[in-house]
Amino acid sequence: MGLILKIMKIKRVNLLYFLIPGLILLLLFVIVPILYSFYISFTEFKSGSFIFNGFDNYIKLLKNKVFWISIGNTFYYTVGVIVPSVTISLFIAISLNRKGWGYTTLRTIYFLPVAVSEAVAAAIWVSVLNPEVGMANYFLEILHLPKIGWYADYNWVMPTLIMVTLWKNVGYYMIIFLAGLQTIPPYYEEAAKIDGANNWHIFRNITLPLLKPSLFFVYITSILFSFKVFTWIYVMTQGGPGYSSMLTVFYIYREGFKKFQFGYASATSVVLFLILLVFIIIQLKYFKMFETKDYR
Amino acid sequence: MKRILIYSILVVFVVSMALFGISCKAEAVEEAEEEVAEVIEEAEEEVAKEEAGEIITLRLMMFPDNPPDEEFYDILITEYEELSPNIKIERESVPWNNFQEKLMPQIMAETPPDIARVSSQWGGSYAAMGALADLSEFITQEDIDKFQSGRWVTCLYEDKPFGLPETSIAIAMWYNKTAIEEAGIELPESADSAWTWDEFKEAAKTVQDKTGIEYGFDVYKSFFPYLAWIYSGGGQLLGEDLKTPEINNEKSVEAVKYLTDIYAEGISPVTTPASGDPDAAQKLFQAGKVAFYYSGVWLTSTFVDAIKDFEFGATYLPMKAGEDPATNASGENLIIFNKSEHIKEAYDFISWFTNKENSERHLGYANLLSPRLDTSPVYEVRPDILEVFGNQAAMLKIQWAKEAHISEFSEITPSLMDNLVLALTGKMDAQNAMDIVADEVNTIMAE
Amino acid sequence: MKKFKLIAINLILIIGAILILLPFVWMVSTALKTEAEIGMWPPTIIPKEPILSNFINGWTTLPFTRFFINTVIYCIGAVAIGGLFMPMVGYTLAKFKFKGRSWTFLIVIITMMIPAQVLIIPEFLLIKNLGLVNNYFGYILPEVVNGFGIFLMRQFFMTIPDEIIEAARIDGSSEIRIFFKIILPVSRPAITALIIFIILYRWNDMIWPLINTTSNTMYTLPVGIASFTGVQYGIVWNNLMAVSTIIAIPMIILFVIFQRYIISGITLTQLK
Repeated sequence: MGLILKIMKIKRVNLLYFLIPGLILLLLFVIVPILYSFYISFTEFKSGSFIFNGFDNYIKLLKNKVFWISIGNTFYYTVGVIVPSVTISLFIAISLNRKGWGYTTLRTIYFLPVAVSEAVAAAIWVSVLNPEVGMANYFLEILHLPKIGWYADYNWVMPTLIMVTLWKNVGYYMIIFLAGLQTIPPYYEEAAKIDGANNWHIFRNITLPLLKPSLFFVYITSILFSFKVFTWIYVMTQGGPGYSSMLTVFYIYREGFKKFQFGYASATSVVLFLILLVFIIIQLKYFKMFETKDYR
Repeated sequence: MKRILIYSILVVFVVSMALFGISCKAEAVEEAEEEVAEVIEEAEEEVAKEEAGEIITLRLMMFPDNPPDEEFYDILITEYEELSPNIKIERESVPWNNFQEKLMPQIMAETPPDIARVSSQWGGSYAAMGALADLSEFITQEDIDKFQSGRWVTCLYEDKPFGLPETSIAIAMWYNKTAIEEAGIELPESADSAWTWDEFKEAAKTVQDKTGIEYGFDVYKSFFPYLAWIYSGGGQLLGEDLKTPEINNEKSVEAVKYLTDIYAEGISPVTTPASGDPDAAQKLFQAGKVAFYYSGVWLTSTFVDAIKDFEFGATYLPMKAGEDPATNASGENLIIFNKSEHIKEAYDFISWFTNKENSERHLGYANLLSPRLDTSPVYEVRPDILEVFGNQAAMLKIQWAKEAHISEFSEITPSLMDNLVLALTGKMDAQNAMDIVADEVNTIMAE
Repeated sequence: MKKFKLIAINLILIIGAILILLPFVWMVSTALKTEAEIGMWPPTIIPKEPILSNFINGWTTLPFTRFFINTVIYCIGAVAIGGLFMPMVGYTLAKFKFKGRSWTFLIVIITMMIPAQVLIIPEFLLIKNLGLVNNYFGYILPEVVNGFGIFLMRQFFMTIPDEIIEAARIDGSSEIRIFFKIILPVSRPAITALIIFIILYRWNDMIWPLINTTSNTMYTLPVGIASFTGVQYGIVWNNLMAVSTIIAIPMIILFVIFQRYIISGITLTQLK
């Protein structure tokens, strides 16, 4: 009994050492600004200071057609991005999880889009996909295929955004899966092979379950990235044509830094956050089994 | 391996703390980079300043229009610091696209710069936030008369001045000279005798048919040219009271319809208004695919460097038969913030900066147009083009200048642009689109 | 049959790699072109008149060497602080059962749900009140410990078997020793991934170095690049692509070097 108490005491003290410094930094430099932005959402910036205006911003927001269009577009984009993101990067990670300079080169190539910033990537793509003089349509022209409107076409703009997002992020998720695959001890695979399992069985019953934490991370992260997408829209579409690529974070930016309505912009981010929170909580509950399960 | 890694991280952490100390003294880092001669010179200056009195530092936040512009800013600042040894000006160059993101937090934290060089549309919004100084006590009528009235009104909020006009931006019609000559088109000689819309459309079509050039005409995607097109049809954004929307009145809507038809007939590429890339049309023009390009004077040096395959020039803008020539009212202004502790000194600087002599030298070097009535900068690069733009800019009417610079203008433009795009790409009828904008204007004005 | 599958997969991967590379071909091609050739039609992939001056001109138009130094300091600072504390928090969330653990984790996830655009102003107010404007810590500290890093670490630490930790505890090791001597070495792939991500984020981050500074000498590389895209009247393509290419190289080298830690980490067998 005394021994157990002693162990518990050690745990608690070390818990403080481990948790507190990081949490303080998180609290101060991330959570406090977030809370302040919530406060701003109930104000309006007029005559040099933030003046309280209650729920005015929220009421105006919920009545705004463009805002709801942006929420719809955000979901469209998110759903369109997640499934390919997870599956393609998983496929690449598993296939490239081997030694050899060929594989190293391929991994580096898939990593390249991650090495450049989003702003540079968007600048490159806005040129390459220019519907009149861009490389992409030039190639299509040479192949006698019809020109595509890419980001200047009402129907193609969302698929275009999804495509460039995948190009940019697949390498990022690949790294995570590669790291995740490393923590799977090879003797599991070997033991299974001795027992006569084929590759697909190994993948389905050993690799995949052991990758669940990584899968969970990539899945949740890609949702969060998608909800916050901004640079592609800023550089390539400005929310257009019309409102067909108006996504909520771009809407927030425009309201805040183009129209100088900061209270309203903050309110929008609060509502977006709440919608996202509900969406994520559903995902977390669905994946709850991964939180404490011992999967040996 | 891990241990080494962790220890090195901790060492680096300690080094960073040391750098914290260094970076606290930003000036110290800057001085370390200067040559020895300059260090000595500064030491001498310091002595002189100390004998003259306290040193006043003014923070100037600006974006450069082009590299020569930025270069000349440094030249003028150095000259001013020599003239006034107790003043030091710290210039910060911020990318135009990110200007608001930089300035807004500083305004809200009550630590804005002393002076900012901004696009004229922004000043009204800052003033409405209560961020700008009232310069009435420093400015005389004589000073005001030196500037074009259309540019002067952009420095006023509730009739109180908060800055001085620094440059003017003008738009006109660029043209592909090689294609025009091949098609045998004759160009208008002056802004007053420019083409009518129909004549212009004919000309653009003719060039397309006769030379096989892909497009006859395209427009820079921004509210300047679109609004100017509407003005050239006798339309307006707002009424004389600067509150009632006129964007959906008969003339305005007709202007939008006319432009939509030009796009629909294939004279212009619909991908330009549909695209989010503001340079879409410029790329087309540079590739030699557009005969007439409605855009601004800032492209002069870009085109000189980038266009080698064909010759180009600038001519005057068309207007609807019976209407007046149109232009836009924008430019850059030097504004002063009211939280500045040295408003008088800041005013002295901007007044000196925008005086006749410096204006001429600066704008001539940087290929920019002047908002002053008494200057004639000498342009080294394509003065013929600068002349056309200058003449077109002289067609400015006060109403246009005022309505594009009300403090709510920045709130209206996104809706204006969204709905113009919907109309121009044929997704929505022009009247409906402009009605939506009018509703938006009413909502904004009511707040 | 098995070999056929392997060839098919490799073929797909190679085609994918080519598609990934195409925009970079354009990028480097543009970096080597004269301004006139960039806007030409029809476009050329291999420049007719290649020049190297864009690299030099682009780099010298603005004080990029200074920006480079600032960015290196920025990355080192962020890795030193974040790379130390984020694994600690992640480990605690993964292995210690304490009251409020789920709530803490939820809050960590929540911090990732607010877009940066909205945080610019509060963050600046905070940095200003701490007197850190125009200071390296003014842009290192925002998000130095962030939700992504903690989340990533937690997920990885969850895969470490509890038995190992228990065994060490029974042997009498303190928690700190367990963390540094046992957990971290085993988590090399994960920690490597974290460090890569921290460096990547900060190397390409434009927001904090832009907002929390008041003088050009404190800018970092991406802010410098923004000057090429943020020109009021059109992007300076040749300089932009040239300098962007230069800036991407350190990140590529970083990945090539660190790759081997992700591919060949210590397995748990060796632990036994």
